[in-house]
Amino acid sequence: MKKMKELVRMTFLTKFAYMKAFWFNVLGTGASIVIYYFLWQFVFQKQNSLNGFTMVQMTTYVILSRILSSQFGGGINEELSQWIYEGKIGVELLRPISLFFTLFAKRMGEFLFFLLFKGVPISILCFLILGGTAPAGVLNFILFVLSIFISIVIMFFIEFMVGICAFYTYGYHGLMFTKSALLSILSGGIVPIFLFPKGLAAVLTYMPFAGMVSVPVNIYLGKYVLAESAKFMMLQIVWALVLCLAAHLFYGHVIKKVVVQGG
Amino acid sequence: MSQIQVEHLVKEYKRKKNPEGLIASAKSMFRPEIETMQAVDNVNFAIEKGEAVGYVGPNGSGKSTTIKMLCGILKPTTGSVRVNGLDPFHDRMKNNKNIGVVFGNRSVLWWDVPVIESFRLFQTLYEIPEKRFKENLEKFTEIMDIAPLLSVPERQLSLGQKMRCNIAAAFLHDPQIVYLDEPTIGLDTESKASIRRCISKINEEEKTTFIITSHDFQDIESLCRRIILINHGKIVLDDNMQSVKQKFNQKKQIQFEMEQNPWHNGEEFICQGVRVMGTTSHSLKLEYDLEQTDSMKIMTAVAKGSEIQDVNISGRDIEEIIRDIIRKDNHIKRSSDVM
Repeated sequence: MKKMKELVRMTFLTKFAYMKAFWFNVLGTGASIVIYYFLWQFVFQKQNSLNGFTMVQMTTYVILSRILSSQFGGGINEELSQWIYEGKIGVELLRPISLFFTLFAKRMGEFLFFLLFKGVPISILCFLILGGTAPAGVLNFILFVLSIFISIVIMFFIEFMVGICAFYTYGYHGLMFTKSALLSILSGGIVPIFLFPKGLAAVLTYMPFAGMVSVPVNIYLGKYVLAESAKFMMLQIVWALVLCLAAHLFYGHVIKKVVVQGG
Repeated sequence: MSQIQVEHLVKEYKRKKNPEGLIASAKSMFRPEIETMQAVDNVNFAIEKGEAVGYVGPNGSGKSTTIKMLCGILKPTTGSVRVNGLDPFHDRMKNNKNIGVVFGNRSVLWWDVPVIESFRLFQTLYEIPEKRFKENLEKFTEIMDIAPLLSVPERQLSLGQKMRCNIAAAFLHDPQIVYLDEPTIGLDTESKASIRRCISKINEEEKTTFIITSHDFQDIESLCRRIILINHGKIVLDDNMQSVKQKFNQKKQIQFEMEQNPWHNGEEFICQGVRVMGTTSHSLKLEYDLEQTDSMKIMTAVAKGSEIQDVNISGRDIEEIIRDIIRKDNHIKRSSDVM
């Protein structure tokens, strides 16, 4: 636990070194929220509700989903790919802790930093300016937070697998872009999943991606009854376990073939 | 059992051939031609605790590949490596606690944070007790002369400064074995000298085992008592430094400065096992074979005929010896390839 804490601290120190770049990132997220807000306002001029969503609820969805999905641009996959690509992976493999541990601690650090300096302040600011609803209930809020924490674990394993694909591609920019685009769409980060064609929407609801944006935000808005919330969160946990297993199998397979480049 | 035991170690790399020309390149995207190369080819050696071994060879001879397999970051194709009885690839995490590694071209520190923060993190990760950590930190800060660098983020350091911090980092957890892969790249002579002194001292006092690869033969000569030479993935030589010098240093040169050289433009200097390399009216340069004669005999002979003012004897240094061995080995390989 102490090792985790120290590694999280290191991530914070690293993040602080790039604070100026981070402010631009925050600004970008803010801008995207405003754009989506006006887009939906146009839609709601003609009607009062869309599939049970009122304008205020949609505003809430936009704020929360944009902020949550702004994480897709980051994550540990870029760094892991870079390590593989540049050969630094050798050094990381020589640490007295496992690669999973190092990267998970980094991911937690990144997430906490995100919450503290972006998630919470930008949410509050947007709620004050654009308006939005409070959580449907205390329990909803608690489950919302819990669900986000589980989704970080899901994200971590997906990022990990995307990251090691660099073993095969020897490049990582395409991987990064594909990951961030796919996750944004499939998680409901760009538009709510109910807007997709019926069949696709039904499938997506049960995919691990929904757990990253759609599930927590719907829980927050009270779109799911308690039993449904519980069901979707159980599903999140199942996906986390499945992806954890997949990541370990993939890693075990790849690590034997590691060609540590250069040197 | 030895601390490090390497048996029949082989590492094969499969490499996609990069063909020349645009059309051939496009074809290779779909059906690449794979070529296999043996980076390490049936290597055997054993290293005892407290030894300091120089692992040398020309570029691309398989040095780094071997080191990586010893550390456990590459899986051997066949053969076995045992370090303290462990298989470093399968028990990597356990093995990592006992070893320190310095790669001349890679840093183990965190790029964006002050060096001391990286050191502090190592303390936690390696579970170094506070007292021991303080002692080691003080010791290596002094030896590597990095006290003023501790508060600086690594990205602001120069190559040599980075190296010094990395070397200090490798010793903080009292490793039993330290692998140094090109440890003196980018260092000034003063730092090189202090690193060599420091390594020798740790080797003697703590009985730490060292395996060093370097292109700087002064590193190898001053640090290692044993030398393993690898060429084309095969071990060509594994011997004591001193006996290598004796075995391969059979010829030496001796040069005399004198009042008057009676063998210049006169009769030739003749002595068994000696070849005249050059004469002027005031000097004489000879090469002699240690198996047939020695420097005293020659000096006596020269002193009989002239008045010696100065003598200079030189042998080949280890670098030249190694270069010679490699040249011969390459020659043998090439001629056997033809057959």
